[in-house]
Amino acid sequence: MVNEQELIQSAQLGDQSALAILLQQNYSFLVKYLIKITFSQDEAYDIAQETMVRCIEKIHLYNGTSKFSSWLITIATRILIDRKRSVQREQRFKVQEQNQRKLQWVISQYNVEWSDTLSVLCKTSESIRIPIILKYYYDYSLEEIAKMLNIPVGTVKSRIHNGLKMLRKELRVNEKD
Amino acid sequence: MKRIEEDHQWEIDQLKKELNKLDQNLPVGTPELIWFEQEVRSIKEAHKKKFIREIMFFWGISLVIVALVLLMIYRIPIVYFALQLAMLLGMVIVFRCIKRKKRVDEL
Repeated sequence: MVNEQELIQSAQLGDQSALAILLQQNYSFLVKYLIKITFSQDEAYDIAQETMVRCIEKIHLYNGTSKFSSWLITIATRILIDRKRSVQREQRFKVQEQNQRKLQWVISQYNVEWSDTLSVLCKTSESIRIPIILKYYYDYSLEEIAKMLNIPVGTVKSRIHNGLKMLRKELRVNEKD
Repeated sequence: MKRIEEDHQWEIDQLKKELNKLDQNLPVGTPELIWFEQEVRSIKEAHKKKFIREIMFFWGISLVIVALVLLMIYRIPIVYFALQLAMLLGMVIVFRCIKRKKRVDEL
């Protein structure tokens, strides 16, 4: 079994099979990450495809300072942010609601209950949701998240703090209801 | 940050638990290796074609410019200066038109 480092080196030297293996190995990780930050399967697969294209074109620029999977999710996150910038806020809210209902339905097919936590997370904007997921689900440091999102560390901190406060507030309201 | 996290430990635990549940229960189909190989091949080919097209375009334009400059300077400089003058006149006319349009809009 060839390790990831060797595959990366071969891929950077132009070995197409090595690059294909690398992409296959990281595909489900990438799609699962995208589902969590978009709450949409369709969008997740769509962005995963675009991420693959960018990765294939820019593999020579990968410098190995972060894990390959981290590099991939950085590309994917930036693609998502660029896409959202061009969509109006109201329209974004509508689409988000539709996506939640769709994913909720898919999840229910596997007899899994949709929790309030997921609903609240789905309601928050990507600017808050992404740092929270990267920090508490993927265990990235504040500095790494700042680098991924291309924003200052202080901004990451305040977004995470705001997100946690919002989560607490909304979950308490839901509990009272 | 540590204090904030301690304060919100319950929410963080809920978040981890629910996201993990989503991860575990939502199946993600990974295509066969051959599909990835075809993707890599076709994307690389398309990228190469685009790169060559852009390089050719850039070279074409730069060659035309260089050829024109050489032609103007060494063979018939009068044409070169006439072109420069025409360009200057053209710019003046365009700027005047824009100004006039602005004035009409203001009225």
